[in-house]
Amino acid sequence: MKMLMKPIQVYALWREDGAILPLAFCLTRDEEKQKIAVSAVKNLREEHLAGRKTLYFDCVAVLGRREWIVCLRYDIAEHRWYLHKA
Amino acid sequence: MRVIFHVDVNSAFLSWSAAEHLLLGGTLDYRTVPSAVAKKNESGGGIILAKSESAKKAGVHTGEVVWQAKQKCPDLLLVPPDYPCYFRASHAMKTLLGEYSPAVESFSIDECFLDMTGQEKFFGPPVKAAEALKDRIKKELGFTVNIGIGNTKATAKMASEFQKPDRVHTLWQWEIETKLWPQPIDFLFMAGRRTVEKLLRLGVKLVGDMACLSPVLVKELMGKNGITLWHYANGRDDSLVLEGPPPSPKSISKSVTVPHVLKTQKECEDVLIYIAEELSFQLREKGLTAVVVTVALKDRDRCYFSHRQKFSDPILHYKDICDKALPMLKLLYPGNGVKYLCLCLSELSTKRSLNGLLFGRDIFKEERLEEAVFALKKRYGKQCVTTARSLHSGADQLFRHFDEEDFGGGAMPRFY
Repeated sequence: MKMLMKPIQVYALWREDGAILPLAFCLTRDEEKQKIAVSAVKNLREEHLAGRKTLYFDCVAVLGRREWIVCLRYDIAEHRWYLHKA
Repeated sequence: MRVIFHVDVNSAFLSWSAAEHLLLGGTLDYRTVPSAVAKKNESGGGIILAKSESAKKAGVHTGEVVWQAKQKCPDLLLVPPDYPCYFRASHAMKTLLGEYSPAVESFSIDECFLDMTGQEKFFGPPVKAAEALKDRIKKELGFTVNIGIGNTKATAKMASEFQKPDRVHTLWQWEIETKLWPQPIDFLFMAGRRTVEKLLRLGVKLVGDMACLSPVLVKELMGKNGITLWHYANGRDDSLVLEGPPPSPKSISKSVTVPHVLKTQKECEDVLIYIAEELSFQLREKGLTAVVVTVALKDRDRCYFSHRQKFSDPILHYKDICDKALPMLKLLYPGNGVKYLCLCLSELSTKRSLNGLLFGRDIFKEERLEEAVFALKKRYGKQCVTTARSLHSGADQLFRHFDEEDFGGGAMPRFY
């Protein structure tokens, strides 16, 4: 996977127990916005490098019939989502 | 016997900036190249706040002027400081340290003392616990630390200075003679530049030389502070690891080295008034008043002058600070221009002045006005309200960098 660190829009679900579940995210390619579904979250880890609390979601992204693994990053302090690796 | 840890972040500002940079997708680890944290201002000044190991090998020192550092190391990569990141990283480290001991004393933004006495049953032998703590900080927070272990705060602090980075060192009482005494005298905890110069003149070159002096002679030559140093040289220090918030400050000051010489007294007054406004804001923020005012300046030839005066009445208001400081400036003003100006308020307390009532001054009205100004500044930034004199004096430009960093860079409120 390649490091991208691209800010993205994410559709996510906040469960009653506080867990966050990304459902889909938007990517702009050739000025065209694509909505990419997240079919599964394979792994979730929390890091606080340099004191910055961050959640990393290793997800299976689906676009049409194609599936690939991406890593989404949620910055807890800034409330921002990034496409961390893809 | 006590067990004290001293945790010291290696090249703190640079390590934190590097960790943040990598976290935000950067590929270059600043710690692996000759780099330094420094804010270069428009006049080409600015000083080195932290440097990498390779920059250190090239001869770059902390506190050095940027252009001098660039001469020593032309490839030096300058990283701008990021204070919110530093506070966040420091807080995260202190929170993590709190898991190891209830007694954590914050010694500075990147240094902490931990009282680990009696913690062996939870974390194992001190060296093993320190190794685990060091590795955990590296893994979880992304930066390296040195941990010094000793029976006192002074020995722990000196142990952490032995060899860097990412090391654990011990300086137990029985290791003083072999590990501490062969060190040069400037290695001694709390021995500043002037003290070291004095000791070298006396022929005291090593810590061991200091330790072997007679305490009577040390007291005669260097007074009370000399005795403290003599105790440190012998590994003695009975100060406790202080828990809780840091003690309130003994003084607050603000100084500026101007890029161009201030040629007239009026220009100096403008800067001093601006500093007085700042200090009044800080006093009010901390709920303190001061009774001692010190004005210091350096003239064009870098000669230093200062004047200090103690007042019976506690000072808080900006106007009162100006009333006291401006006559002092008049006394000191050298005539050939001023390069550096400093205003310091000391002997801080929580006492409030009541003399205004006796001499017909409506201090309650002034207090309400100052309270309102303070509330506005706190909410909308320090530049939202200022005195008419400071408005176009240009003094604020001298402090622009610091103010932006302190208050999030905007005069307008942030909306979430």
